[in-house]
Amino acid sequence: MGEIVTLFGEIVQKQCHKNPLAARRLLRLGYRAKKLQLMAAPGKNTTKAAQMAAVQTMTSMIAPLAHPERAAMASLFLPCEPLQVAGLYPYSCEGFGCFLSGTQAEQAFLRYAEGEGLPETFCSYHKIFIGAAEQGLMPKPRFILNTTLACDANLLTFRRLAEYFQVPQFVVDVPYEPSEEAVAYVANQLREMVRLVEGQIGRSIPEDGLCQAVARSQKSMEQFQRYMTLRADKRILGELTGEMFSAFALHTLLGTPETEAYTSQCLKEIDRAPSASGVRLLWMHTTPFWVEPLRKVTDFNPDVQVVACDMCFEGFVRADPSRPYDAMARRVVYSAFNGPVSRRIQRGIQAARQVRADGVVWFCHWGCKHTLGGAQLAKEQFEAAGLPCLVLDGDGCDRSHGGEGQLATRMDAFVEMLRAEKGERV
Amino acid sequence: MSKTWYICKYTPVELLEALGGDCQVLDYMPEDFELSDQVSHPNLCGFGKAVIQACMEGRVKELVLVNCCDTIRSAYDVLLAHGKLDFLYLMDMLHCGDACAREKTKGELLRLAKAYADYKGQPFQPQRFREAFRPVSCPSEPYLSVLGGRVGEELFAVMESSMPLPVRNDTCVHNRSVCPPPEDLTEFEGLMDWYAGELLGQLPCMRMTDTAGRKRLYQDPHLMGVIYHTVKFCDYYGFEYAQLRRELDVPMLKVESDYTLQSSGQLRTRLEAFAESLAPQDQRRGTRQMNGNGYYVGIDSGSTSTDVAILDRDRHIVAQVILPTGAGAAAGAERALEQALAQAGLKPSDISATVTTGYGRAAIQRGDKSITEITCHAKGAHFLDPEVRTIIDIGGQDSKVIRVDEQGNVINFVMNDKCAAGTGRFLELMARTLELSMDEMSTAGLSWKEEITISSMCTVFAESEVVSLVAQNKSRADIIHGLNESVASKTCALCRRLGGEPVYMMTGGVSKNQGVAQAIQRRLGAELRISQQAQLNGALGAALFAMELDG
Ligand code: SF4
Ligand code: SF4
Ligand code: SF4
Repeated sequence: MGEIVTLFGEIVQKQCHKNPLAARRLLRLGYRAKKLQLMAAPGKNTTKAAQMAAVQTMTSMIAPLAHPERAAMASLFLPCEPLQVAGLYPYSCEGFGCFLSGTQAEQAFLRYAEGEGLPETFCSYHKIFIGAAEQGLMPKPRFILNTTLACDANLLTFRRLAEYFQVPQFVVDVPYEPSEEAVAYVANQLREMVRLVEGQIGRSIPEDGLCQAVARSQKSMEQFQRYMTLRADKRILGELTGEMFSAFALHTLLGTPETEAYTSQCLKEIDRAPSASGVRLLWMHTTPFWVEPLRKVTDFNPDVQVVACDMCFEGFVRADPSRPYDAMARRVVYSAFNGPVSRRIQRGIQAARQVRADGVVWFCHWGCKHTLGGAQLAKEQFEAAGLPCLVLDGDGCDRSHGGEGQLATRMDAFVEMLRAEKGERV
Repeated sequence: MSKTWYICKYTPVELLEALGGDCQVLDYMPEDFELSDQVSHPNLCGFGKAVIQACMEGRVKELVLVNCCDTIRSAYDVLLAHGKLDFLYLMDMLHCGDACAREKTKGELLRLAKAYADYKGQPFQPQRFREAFRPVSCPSEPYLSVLGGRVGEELFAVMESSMPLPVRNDTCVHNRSVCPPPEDLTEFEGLMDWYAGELLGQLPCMRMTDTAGRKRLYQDPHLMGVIYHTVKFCDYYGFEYAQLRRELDVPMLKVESDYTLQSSGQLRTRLEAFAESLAPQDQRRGTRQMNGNGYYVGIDSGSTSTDVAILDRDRHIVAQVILPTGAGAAAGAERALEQALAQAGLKPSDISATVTTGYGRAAIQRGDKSITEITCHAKGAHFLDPEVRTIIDIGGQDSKVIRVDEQGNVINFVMNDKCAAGTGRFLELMARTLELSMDEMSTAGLSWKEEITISSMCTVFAESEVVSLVAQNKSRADIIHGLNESVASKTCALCRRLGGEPVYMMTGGVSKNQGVAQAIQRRLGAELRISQQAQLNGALGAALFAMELDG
């Protein structure tokens, strides 16, 4: 399988140079094939819930390729319910970056972005995305919508692409201090964003539809919360990449019936799951798609499991679905990624206790200043809370940054340490 | 009285002064980031690390930050936990300047005013507020502009001293422009509302959503050239640079620094080369009357070899010498020159003018003038082959791409000397790993069969990749081919960054490596000319300049 993926990635990269349309078709076909494979033969260890998240994410990547006229380029943290209700296909730039790297189609796009003079130190998810867009792999979207939440990369990538594609852009500016005033400010902007979208598509987005979608979002978040709590005593085996699928389901796809079904399925499975065993890790930030030796440590391993990832739960809040704009705004304003990094760390500590994690991995994705800037503080504060913390430097999607072996060694050593602490055999 | 330091042009400096503050821009360039690295991550931008370093060294006791970027937010987090400051404040700035944002900014101003007044124990003094506004100057004569990420004092001084025209610091905090309030506005809240609008209405920096107003910075009729500066690990300004590369019609030089004192020194060569390319050719001509018998010497003192070329009045090469540099640049140059004189059968008194170039040029006392290797390479290549428009030079320690016009003047250039990848050093290390000589490396990859991609760009990681490929029993030829392709891809990326055009010429030590040369040629899709005298290029250019000195 590995070889086929490499070959596929290479063809996409090569084709793109000469014939972007053909490359796009090829990518679409590839993703369809992958989706079919996920549906028919997900692998004997994959749970139904994990399969659902993967299939939904694949579907959401195929749709914008097939129907660019209904595609909305979005940042991961943008509340997408209004777009779903309007029958549009939001897709996130981080997600696409991940996927291209998953198909080993990323190098040419990275080199293109760097050749353009963009900083080498820029987040590689974004570099891949820009490369793929400007090399013609991604079709021109209907519009571009993003928040300023989580990182500066949003600001830069989307501004550049809006100019490149000459499409309307809307930026939801999230104030740094989480407060009720900030919620009102963001809610107003979301209203304005919806007006822009309505103007573009020439019809209005029904408020009751929106309320229903937001109600589904709230329900999905609550169910996933419950799932995390129950998971404390249970063992569910999965893959590191599964956490990313889950993160996409709980962001760009939040509010869809599919995501609600996914979280219901999670709850069903947790009931039947065997008792907890092995070393349990909380993963902070994105997970690398490509580091095989690392995945050997964490994937389908009864002795070591990643039991939660902050990319999934960072925005969980209680809110009133009958005030949909307020609810959506609340999610971004009170996101653990907003404000000082100590909020994110505190949220991590809380989650680690909720799922009974033995240790925490803080993954410093190359170029992600928010995460790496807070790494030392995270280590200090997690450890002060009695949670051993491994700061792992790596790149979530750019193979050329290398160091697979080093990543895996450090991870192994960390796991050995945790095992010893639990009194288990190393 | 202690100083209140600030970093951003959106800081309400006048308000702080009206509350009894003495404000100054924090521009400190440290020797290293030792203290900063202890409490944060080395991959923050250099400026962010400099801010943390300054605080940890105890130089800064009062600091007002603005929520500029991820790095500054992180610096704030770190300083909050470890900074031991008397006053630390992060002001939130939104990314747009509309009415809602102005309202929120006013709220932020009131919040800061309260915190700062409590700290200083002084009331707001309206008169001080008005007096704190400084006049904003506009260019009225030809000038060069430094744009992009912030440039600290020391680096700016290096720029000023090497440029032939007045230089303006238009980076980040340095292009602050706020005008005094209308006379009739006196009540505090009203003033703050106006002030919020005035601060937000400045020429936008790259962190704002709408950056169209930045055009004013590079459309000034007096603007003669741009030095575009980026700070390593800063994202904002690389994007503007990418755009200016396409749009700007005055010459532009891109430089990157990591905000240490050391990096300012390293940039000198590039700055000087840029200055040389700005000064018209004939201004350099005939600056003095020379003695001697019409022989002209060029000395190129490189890190690995010292090259000397001697030309006669008819531009014939009468001597050429290439020697290892050895321990000292000066001694190496003397030795090479002696040999060259002997080769041509000349006495030192026959020499009319000497120009030195290369890394070691500053260490060589001899010579009438010293010119950067970039300008000399361009000159030399033009002499060897007047059709050449792009020179690709890969030496032992660095690689560079230079674009030249029909006269051999430098139009633009890029240099990579920060990391070994893509240089001769990289190939040397790999040859050692594979236990091959450099000559064997040159041809061994030509008979490759399987395409192998060496994906790591970092030399250390690439080495372990090679080791594991050997362990997998991959053939040497295929591995070397992969390495050649890796160097070629790095080089062609540089070339593309510069918008290289045919005819291409390759120079430098690596030009002798057939595998690499072929790989580059394939990637360029154009002919790559390699002259027999390619290695002498710099020295030849210097000798030609020496000839021009002689009026
Ligand atoms: S990895 Fe970091 S820098 Fe990249 S998109 Fe995510 S938050 Fe932004
Ligand atoms: S880039 Fe803009 S916001 Fe940031 S410090 Fe400079 S002037 Fe201030
Ligand atoms: S140089 Fe760039 S990354 Fe650093 S503080 Fe300034 S804007 Fe932020």
